[in-house]
Amino acid sequence: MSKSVWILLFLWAPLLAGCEDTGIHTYRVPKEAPASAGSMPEMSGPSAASPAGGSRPLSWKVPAGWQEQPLSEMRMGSYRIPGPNGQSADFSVVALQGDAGGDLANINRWRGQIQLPPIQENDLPSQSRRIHPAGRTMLLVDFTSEPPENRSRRRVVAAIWSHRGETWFFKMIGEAGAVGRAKPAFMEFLQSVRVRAGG
Amino acid sequence: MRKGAQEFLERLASVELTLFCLALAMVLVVFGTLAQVRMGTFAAQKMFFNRWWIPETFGDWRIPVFPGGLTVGALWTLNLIAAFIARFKYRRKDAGILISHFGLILLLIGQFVAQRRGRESLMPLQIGQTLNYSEAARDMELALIDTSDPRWDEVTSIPDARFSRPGEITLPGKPFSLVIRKFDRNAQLAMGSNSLATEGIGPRISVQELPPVTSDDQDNILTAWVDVREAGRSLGVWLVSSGLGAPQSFEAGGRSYRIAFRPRRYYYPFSLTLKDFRHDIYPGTDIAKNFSSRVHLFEAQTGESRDALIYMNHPLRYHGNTFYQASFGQGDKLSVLQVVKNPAWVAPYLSCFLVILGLVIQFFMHLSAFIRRRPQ
Repeated sequence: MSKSVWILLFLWAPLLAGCEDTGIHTYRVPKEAPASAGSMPEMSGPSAASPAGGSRPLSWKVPAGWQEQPLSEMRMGSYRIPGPNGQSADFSVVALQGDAGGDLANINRWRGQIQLPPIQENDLPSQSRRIHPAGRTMLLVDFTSEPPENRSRRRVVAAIWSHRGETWFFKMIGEAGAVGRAKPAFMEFLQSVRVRAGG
Repeated sequence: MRKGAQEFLERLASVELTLFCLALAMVLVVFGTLAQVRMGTFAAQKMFFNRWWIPETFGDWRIPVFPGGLTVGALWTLNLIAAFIARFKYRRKDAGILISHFGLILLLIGQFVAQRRGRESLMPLQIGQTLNYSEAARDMELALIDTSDPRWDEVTSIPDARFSRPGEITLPGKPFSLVIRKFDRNAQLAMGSNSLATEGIGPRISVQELPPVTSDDQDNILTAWVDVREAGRSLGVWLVSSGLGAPQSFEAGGRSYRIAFRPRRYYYPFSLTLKDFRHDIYPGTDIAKNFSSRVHLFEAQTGESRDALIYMNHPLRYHGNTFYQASFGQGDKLSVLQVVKNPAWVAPYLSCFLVILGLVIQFFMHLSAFIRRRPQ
């Protein structure tokens, strides 16, 4: 190889070395406020992270009597709802990117949780209805199980909201008495949902 | 100078090489511009102008087929520098040419520094909200956050580009390492089951791999299965994805960690609080007249504490960062600032000044020579 080529390679080496930054960096930052806001009446949670816009928290007003539960990896909001005669219901707010498998798959999964058979795509219009809390279009479902003897009936009420490429699930599940009594508060909760950032 | 080196330098300084570089640049501009329709602006820019080589895939091989913008720019810069060494004459009458060409070198080097060291990110602020970081619009990071210390969080950031290479990722100062079991550049998540993940939310999520998207209005959902290994023992496999909401957590070496795929963050030693956002319109119409954000800048270390108004053509410049009014939302309750950090921002201004100065000098030198030669 001629000397000229070696000189050319020598000149280029530092430039070629400056390729894409794949380095691992460690740094200290001030602690961020936790997703849960303790016993404050209004709380928020980060939604599914979006590459374009960062976290997009929703805010909502927690109905009276709902008891905050620890958040898990998936839950943006989590409450225990006490009902009559020691019954209770569980309420969760979950967000996923995309259509999260589609309405039918999620609805059938919830039906399975209260031992109801799955429905078909054709049944969706009759088994769900569109609601418009605070001007947003959501799909609402409400199923009650037919329990075997000596077992209490279970009920699930859930709303699905597609918002800017994410799907939000507001789901209340539990003993039918507790869920039934909490349904008006559930609808109020949906009315109170606000997009806090990136909306 | 030895003959071989002299010959090489003369070839490097040749006008033929200059014309060759210009021809390559023209081809790049044409194809790079056309590709924006198919790929989107960001991806086309990265593929054609911010790369050394443009690769093409042949089966399992990725072969460079055409020099990228960085190669053409670097070659042209070398050509110009070599011209200063071997070709240009340092005479008074050539002063204008020398100054103009020096301006060109400065422009090319400035552009190189801007492309490699500059960055753009977004800071979405709701009225009343305070942030000390901005987020990249495209680049993602796997953030490992050590939350054990009550005073601060220690964040280890692994750029998403690192995930393209299989194998173990060792983390300096950490008692564990990561092994990427699988990485999908784009995927759709749904409730279901997942055989690869054993810990966290992963076992309850099903993942469908999707082809990556590049257009400007679509985002990839980066998804990886990460095996956390401590002293050669697996602590479990976590599914991490930019499509998941809250971070997941685990314990290693007696410390608590959170793990999440998120837009790459850039932290600052100062914070901005959005005090007010205005969306003014012309009276009687819906036509926008002005967008402006009043922010409060606070830096604890220097004691800097002041308000600043950011509006069109009037950004806030602080610590080498420029904050522009970029977007808004949420019924005018949210303002999105674009944060640009470009260490070579002065280069285009200076180089344009030098090129114009050189041309003006050259013009007047020729003019005066012409006037002197004209018969009285």
